[in-house]
Amino acid sequence: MSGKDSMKSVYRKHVSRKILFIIIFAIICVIAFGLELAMGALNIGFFESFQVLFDHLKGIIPEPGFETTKDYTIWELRVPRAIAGLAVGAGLGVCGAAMQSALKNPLADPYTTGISSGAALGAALSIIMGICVIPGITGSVAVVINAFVLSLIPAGVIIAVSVMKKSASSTSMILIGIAVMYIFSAMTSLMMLYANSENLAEVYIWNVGTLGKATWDNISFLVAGALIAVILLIALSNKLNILSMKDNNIISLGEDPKKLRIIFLVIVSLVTALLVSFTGSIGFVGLVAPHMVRTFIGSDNRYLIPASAVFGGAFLLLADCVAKSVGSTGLPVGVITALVGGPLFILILIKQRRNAWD
Amino acid sequence: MRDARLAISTGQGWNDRMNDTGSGELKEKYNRYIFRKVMFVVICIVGIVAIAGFSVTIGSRDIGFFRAYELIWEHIKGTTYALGSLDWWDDDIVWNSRLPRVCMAIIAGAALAIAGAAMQSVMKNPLADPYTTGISSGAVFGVTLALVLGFTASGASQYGLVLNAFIFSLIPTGIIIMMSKFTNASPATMILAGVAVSFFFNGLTTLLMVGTDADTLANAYLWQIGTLENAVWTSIPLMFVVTLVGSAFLLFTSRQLNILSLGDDSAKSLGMDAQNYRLICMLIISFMIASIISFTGIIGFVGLVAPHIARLTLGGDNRYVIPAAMAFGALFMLAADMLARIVVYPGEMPVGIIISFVGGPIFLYLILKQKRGAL
Repeated sequence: MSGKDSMKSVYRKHVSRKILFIIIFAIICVIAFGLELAMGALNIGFFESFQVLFDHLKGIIPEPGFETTKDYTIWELRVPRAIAGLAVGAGLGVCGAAMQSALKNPLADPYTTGISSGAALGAALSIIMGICVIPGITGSVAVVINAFVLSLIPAGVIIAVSVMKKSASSTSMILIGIAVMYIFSAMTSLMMLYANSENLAEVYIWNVGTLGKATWDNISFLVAGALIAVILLIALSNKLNILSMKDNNIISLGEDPKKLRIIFLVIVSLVTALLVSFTGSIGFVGLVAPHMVRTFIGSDNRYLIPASAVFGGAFLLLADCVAKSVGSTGLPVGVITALVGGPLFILILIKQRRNAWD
Repeated sequence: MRDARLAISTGQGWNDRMNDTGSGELKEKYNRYIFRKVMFVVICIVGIVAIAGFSVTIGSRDIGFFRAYELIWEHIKGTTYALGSLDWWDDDIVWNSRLPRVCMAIIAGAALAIAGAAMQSVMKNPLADPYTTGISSGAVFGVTLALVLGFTASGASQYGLVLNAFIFSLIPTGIIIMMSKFTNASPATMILAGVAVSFFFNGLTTLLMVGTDADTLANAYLWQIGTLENAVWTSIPLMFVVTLVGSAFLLFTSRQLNILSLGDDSAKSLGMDAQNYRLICMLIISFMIASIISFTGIIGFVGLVAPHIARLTLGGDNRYVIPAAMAFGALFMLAADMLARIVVYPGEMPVGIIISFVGGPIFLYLILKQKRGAL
């Protein structure tokens, strides 16, 4: 009896640690959200920005004057960007975690299926050649549409091939993605080669990824995408756990590994394509956020997925705070995630006691 | 087998006979098995020699296929021609402008492929390639530093870019090796460390790129695509020697690579220090690749795909995969470079682009056709 009780208490402690991690990072998300609102050219305090935000939500719009500027800056410029940061960070975080578990590879990230190469090709097509997949559309909308449509092609190829083949191991799926990715990158390079330097620079910077383009008009897509990913993946986290076993064992549990893998691939690809087409390929978050979470709470997807969501959101928001405050014009957030996240990640790798992957 | 069973039933000298027939059959099977692998390498080498000759004939000056071999042979024998004569021009063009490029293609292809094969075995990951430890990100950063800020490690000499690329491409490996002193050097940890380091260097590169003007950005970008256009004899010796030493090491230790694929624990029980061997391999691969990409820029795909193609056709035994990947990589690179000069003649296209265009579909086809378990 007492043995059973102590087992129970150990288990509870084990679980409560994971839940604590999620709660802590949810709180950090809120703090980061406030910081994101407070940072910028116009100086607004941390608490004041929340005050302005709540006032606006309650419908209190200040009289024309200095307060209106504050209200406008917060509501029209900074809130969309902060929401976009949270959505994109959380979305990429969960997609990365799901991808790593579904493909059983620590190198997998949301872009493993070749999404970023497709998006880059789409952007290059519309910026350099002026071509849009839906005729008659030009400008920044064309870039978004191109990026979205083309980024789905590599994943489409992977899924089509996997359906045709009798068995589809995670390795062959990854390798198909890489083959398509290389073909797409070659096409992009070819266009870049003959483009003038201004267009080349524009495509390059589009690829780096930034949250600066977020407005109230487009964040609804980002939020919807992120929400779908988080909810679906949390709901399916048990299946993800099953997928981490050997294929034979999965079959003996009565599940079809190929079908499960394809389901996850479809979810991740659709959501990531949506996020990427508005922001450009923000790297690192999708790869590293799940890994950092793994080193703290282990690889159980029931906790890993929600933890990756809050961690990814907090990480991207904080990185964007830094990105906004560097220099006069700010930097793309992708640069900061890499510069800050890289060393941090190495530190965590050194500090980790057990290897979450082996 | 039926003989053997018959022998058992008659109970007469079955032991001897079973050994005879069984081992004979087995031997024959084994020989056929080995023969296929050796043939693959031989075919690749014949292909290399043939394409090398053809590759030398491409250009504005008309030089025939056999004439090309003749000129090369004569040059090696030490034949000299009257200055300014037709033969002299032919010799000069073949020897000084076309042949270095062919040599560079062969060396670069072989080195990238063997490095990729070793990296995939050492890291136990089919996604690994020669750049997994972050070598390319370091090189790109070094070159961008030189192009954008004018900072080079060797002052203003003509080798500024090359030297920068070389030195900076060794930094990521250095970091990973230092790191492995503090933590376990398991493949997963090392791959992730490589990813972290490359992201860091890529971040620095992007930082420089977004702050610079469009023309410099274009320059730095184009360096990354990878081309053999700038091949000259002076750049060959370094990469040749390093590649030779590196591949010799990897070829002679390919048995260890096989043992490593059993897992670290099994390797240990067979008396092998897995982590140490892994670090040595990484160091050798880094030097090999650094000495190549600092001259050519980042040529992707060969290092990833050539080993896979070797594995898909020959199976996973590293004793054969390593030489086969090497031969195939050289052939592939040479053929791609030849195509790069034919398709947009008289101009040319960076070989990196051709490699992806041609290699991508081939790779897809092989994955679809693969027998189970080769990967």
